Amino acid sequence: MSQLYRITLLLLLLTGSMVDLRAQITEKPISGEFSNLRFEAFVQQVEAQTTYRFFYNPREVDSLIVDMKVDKQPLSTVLRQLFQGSKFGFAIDNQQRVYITVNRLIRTELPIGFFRRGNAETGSDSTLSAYMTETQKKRVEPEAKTYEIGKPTNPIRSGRATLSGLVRNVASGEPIVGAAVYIENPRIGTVTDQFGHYSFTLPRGRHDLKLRSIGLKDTRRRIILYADGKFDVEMEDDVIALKEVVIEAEKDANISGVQMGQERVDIKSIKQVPTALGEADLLRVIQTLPGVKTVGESSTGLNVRGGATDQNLILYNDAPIYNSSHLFGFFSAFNPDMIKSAELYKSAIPSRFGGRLSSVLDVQTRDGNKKKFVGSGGIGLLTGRITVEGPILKDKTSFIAGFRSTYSDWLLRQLSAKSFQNSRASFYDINLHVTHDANEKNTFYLTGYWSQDRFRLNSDTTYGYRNQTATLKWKHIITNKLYSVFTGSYSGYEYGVSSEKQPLSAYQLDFSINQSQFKADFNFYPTNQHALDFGLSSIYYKLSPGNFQPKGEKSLIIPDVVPSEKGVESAVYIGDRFDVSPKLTISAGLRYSFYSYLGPNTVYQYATGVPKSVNTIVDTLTYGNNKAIATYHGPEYRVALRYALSPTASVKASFNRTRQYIQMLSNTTVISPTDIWKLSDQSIRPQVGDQFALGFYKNNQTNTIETSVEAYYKTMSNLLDYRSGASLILNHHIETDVVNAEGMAYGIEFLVKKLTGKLNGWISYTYARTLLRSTNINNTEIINSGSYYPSSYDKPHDVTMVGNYKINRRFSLSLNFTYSTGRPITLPVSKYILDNSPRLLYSERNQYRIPDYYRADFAMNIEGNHKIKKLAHSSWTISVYNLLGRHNAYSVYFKSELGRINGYQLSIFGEPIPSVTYNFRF
Amino acid sequence: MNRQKLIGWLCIALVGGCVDPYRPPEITSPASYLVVNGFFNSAPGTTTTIRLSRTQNLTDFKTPAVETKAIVTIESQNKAVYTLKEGTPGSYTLAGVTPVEGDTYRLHIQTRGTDYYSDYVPMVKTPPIDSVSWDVVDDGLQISANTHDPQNNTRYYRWEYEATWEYYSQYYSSLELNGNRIVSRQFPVNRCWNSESSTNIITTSTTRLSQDIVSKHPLTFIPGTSIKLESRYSILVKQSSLTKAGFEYYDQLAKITQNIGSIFDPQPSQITGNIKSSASATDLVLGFFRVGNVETKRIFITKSQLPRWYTFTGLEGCVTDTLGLKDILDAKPAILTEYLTEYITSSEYCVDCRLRGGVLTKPAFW
Repeated sequence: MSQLYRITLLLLLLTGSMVDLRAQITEKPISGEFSNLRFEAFVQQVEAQTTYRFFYNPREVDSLIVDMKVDKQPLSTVLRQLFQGSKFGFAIDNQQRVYITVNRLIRTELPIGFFRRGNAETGSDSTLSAYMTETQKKRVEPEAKTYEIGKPTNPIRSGRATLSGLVRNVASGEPIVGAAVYIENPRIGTVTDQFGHYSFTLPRGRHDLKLRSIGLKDTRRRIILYADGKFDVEMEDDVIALKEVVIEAEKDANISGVQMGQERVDIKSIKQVPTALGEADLLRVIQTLPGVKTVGESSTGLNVRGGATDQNLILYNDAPIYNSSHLFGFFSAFNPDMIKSAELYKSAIPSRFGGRLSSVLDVQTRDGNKKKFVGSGGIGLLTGRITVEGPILKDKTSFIAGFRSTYSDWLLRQLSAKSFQNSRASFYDINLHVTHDANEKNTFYLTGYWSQDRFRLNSDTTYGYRNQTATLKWKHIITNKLYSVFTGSYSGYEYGVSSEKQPLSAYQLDFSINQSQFKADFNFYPTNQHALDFGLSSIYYKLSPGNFQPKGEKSLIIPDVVPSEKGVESAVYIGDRFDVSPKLTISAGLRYSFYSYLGPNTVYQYATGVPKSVNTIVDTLTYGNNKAIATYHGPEYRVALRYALSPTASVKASFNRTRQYIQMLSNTTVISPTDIWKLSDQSIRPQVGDQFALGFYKNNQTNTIETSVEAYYKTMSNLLDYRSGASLILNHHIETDVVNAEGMAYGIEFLVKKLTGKLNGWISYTYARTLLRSTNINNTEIINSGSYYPSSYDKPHDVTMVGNYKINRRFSLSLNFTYSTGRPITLPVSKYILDNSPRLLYSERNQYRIPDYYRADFAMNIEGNHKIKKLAHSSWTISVYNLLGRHNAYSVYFKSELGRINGYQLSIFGEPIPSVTYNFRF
Repeated sequence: MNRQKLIGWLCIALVGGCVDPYRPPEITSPASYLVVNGFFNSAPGTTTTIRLSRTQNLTDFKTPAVETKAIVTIESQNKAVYTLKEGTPGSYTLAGVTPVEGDTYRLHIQTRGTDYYSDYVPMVKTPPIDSVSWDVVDDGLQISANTHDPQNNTRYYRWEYEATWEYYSQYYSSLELNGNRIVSRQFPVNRCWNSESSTNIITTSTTRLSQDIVSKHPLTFIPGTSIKLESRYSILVKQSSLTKAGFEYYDQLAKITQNIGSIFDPQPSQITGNIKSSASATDLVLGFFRVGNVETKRIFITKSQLPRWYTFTGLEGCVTDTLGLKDILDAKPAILTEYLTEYITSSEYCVDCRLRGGVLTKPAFW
């Protein structure tokens, strides 16, 4: 092609004479009303009026429409106006020949020094070299162009065709998730998926395809759809929107989408919410959402709609993270610079997810910049972090890598108090994500994550834990209606406790989970009314529930190893979103999961009808390698429907069932590093949860204010509670120490969100209850005599306000406010003297509450100046956590001290905690 | 704010948190439950004492009500029944009966029309204490117990202790006021002994060790500046071995009342021992009945064995004043000695060690 151009160019140049440029000044003006004319007709009219002759390729201009009124203007002005911002260029030579070209201009005279070829290389005519090498310097505005999709036919056939493609960020090449892609007449649209991929079916013909996404400029493409085809779109960053909206929602997605109980948070909103130690924290933001509660301030564990903290599937690029906290829960496991967005599903969990009862938190990392190397980082009071990203192969392969660590160890050593000097607390995490676009149809993603925590609190016992994940994902577009994603992932979690103070009893205790997973997911868009997804997955678990070993030569510790556990969890699923009519959408899915607890293992059988204990073991069975010891399977129904009452209001309802085959056993209320995980086995049945939800959604006319009400009712069975005094660590027959329980949760969530404008944010109110009850009738110990009691995270009233005010483009202020009922606790009801010291008799479980919780936080973001070219872009975040300095009780406890009973309340943050974080990009 | 302070703040925010006194809402217990203290002492020639009392409301600061007129018996599985006699109210004693190794015993209490029974428990023999050791750590004194069982079957240990220390007043007073006259003091009041009993539950188990050896199990820590280490300190350590059930009971009780206040606390729960009401499961009984002996060991530590620690006596503000008889009669201070025509005086607190909690009587073991 370029060869042809070059020859044509040369010919033109040679035939064109070297007449003075000023000849053009005498060009004849043209007039006329050209309304919706094809370019060819326009040319005919102009040629009739004037002596101009047009030269062009008719195939290039067939989509060009002229719609303008001209009154005695020179042709060059008219053409400049017509082609402005388009790929077309024109040139008029002195013989009044007009050349219309695409992308590059025709030169009508020879460049300087054309005939002195010998030293052309040193010539200063850069235009020429640019010309000759066909470098396209000028950015073409694609909005004006008309794109043809599919093989052109004339006339355009009637019927529908499927359009699919990728939506990317033009600057970084990163796929854009959740961008709305739609046409207005008829109103058909879709939203890009997690890969920035979209696919939808629309009538063939000419369309104005519109794209919208938060933080990006709205854009449009003119298309002529002849047949099924692929069409990628690049969107630009909205430069003005430095501090854009808080929660990313697809403007009217809450009305038009069938999904309910879903919240999507992007990194911009994460960065706005003030946190205790200044670092943007995904899980803290998730905790401000309605329906999400947490036990206390140092806990990043989530209690979603009455679920326990182990009932959340926290996925980091598809690999589950078992311990999502760092440093006693003050930080979450996710480096804010790596995250693109996170989606939380509280109800109507899509059928592609499974394995946990209450929620799915799907955290996605950003793809690295495909165009250039950039970096970012931040320095806070306790942590520092740095992220670099860039292309490995330009426009094809990119990477992003992040490292985050803390200098709290150094801080602790600076303190004079012995107790601090003897304490250690540190963590780090490393992230790597590589994206490779092999070709239009195949994309590969590789993610690695490694985190490590170590701490010792003025004692001789050192704790450490580690998360490791690796994911390899292959996205393959089979046809433009069908694409597939194959994912292989590994997820590991382990902790260790060691003590070396007493040489005779020095020990090392280790626990680990290893999980390998394969899944295949398919998305199929048969017609515009259906969006099908189906797939299968399989997870292989291997747990080492406890390995207790002596440490050092003098140690008398007897090694104790709890035999490892193995299990396989597999599932197949299918789901369909069916747009029955513009008003009614039904999304129905079925997931069927199978689980086997595998040998080798030795299991105990207990006498029936009596409590399980060591004394009631009647038989010991030994199973060989990979022999199924226990098998469970069952369907999981996922149904949701939406009915649009008006363009700005809808009602939605959903039902979902979930099953969980691995559970955490803990006798603390928060996630602590020594919690153990247990696979379902012959005695411990999988947990099953059912949730019904109903919601009403109403936006104002411009979709700037969203309001919603969602109510839910949930039942959970086969939950685990433990006997008082149960020892969970190194327990070879844990079934004797756990108590079966069932749960019930219900609640109603109100939310008002304002997404745009100088003032944005949301206010939510939740009323929710979570009640549990023991079900083992023949157990020796029935908690609260078998009646319902509130769970530790039952906090009925919850009000959260997140507000952000943009003063100007460089300053913004955020203010958060949280109120919630205090969590339930067990209080002493009477006292007695035993062995010379007062002791306490506690009430039945969770019959009282700690004082109500409220807290206000404030943050100020200051951006550097907005010069595009400078060494590093920086911003400062100044925040004050717990602005009012309220001593919010985290826990209440009673101690027998020197013969007296004293009551105390522990507050994690008893003072306003100021912090400053410096963030930079380069 | 200097750097040290700033960092301190940060770390308090991080690890220490902030602890405030908490007053619970007015809670009154629905019932008052029976509390059982004591054990069946297996050492020959000793007296077994079982004390019965009742639980009280948290806001009740009276001494707990004792349970009188109960019928308390210890019954062996071989049908032997020994009845305890009530001495002081609520205190039931049995002398001259030594449990037989290999037999099991239960406590039976009959009071207010209800029978309460403990589980049958075996007699557990306690091995002797090898030594009570002390070490200087972190500017203080750590006292620990060492023991072992060559038969490897004790496994569960519990300790209690009684500490006694000698301390002095700031000034020696040889005179005192008797009416309007200054006379020689009848007995010196500058040297006292104070004592305290352990209040924490101290237990350990050696089940995870290949040999039944307890090495330096911490009993108590005394800061170097404590008045306990002013002159001479003595501790009597009492060791008893427990059954597994007994260990679990005391361990639970300790967990919910002692080692708490961290961010990973266990949930408190109702903990009852091995004694139950025969009538109703909701009529709780608190306490744990066991059969066994107690091994003891006493050590002394004198000031000269310790580093040169400065003791915070609480008497740092003591001063003397020279007063005439008239002023003495007005102000009634403590009189140290005669000085020319006047007297050197100081406050009673600086002179009479009894005002700081101790007694003048030298303990028999001193």
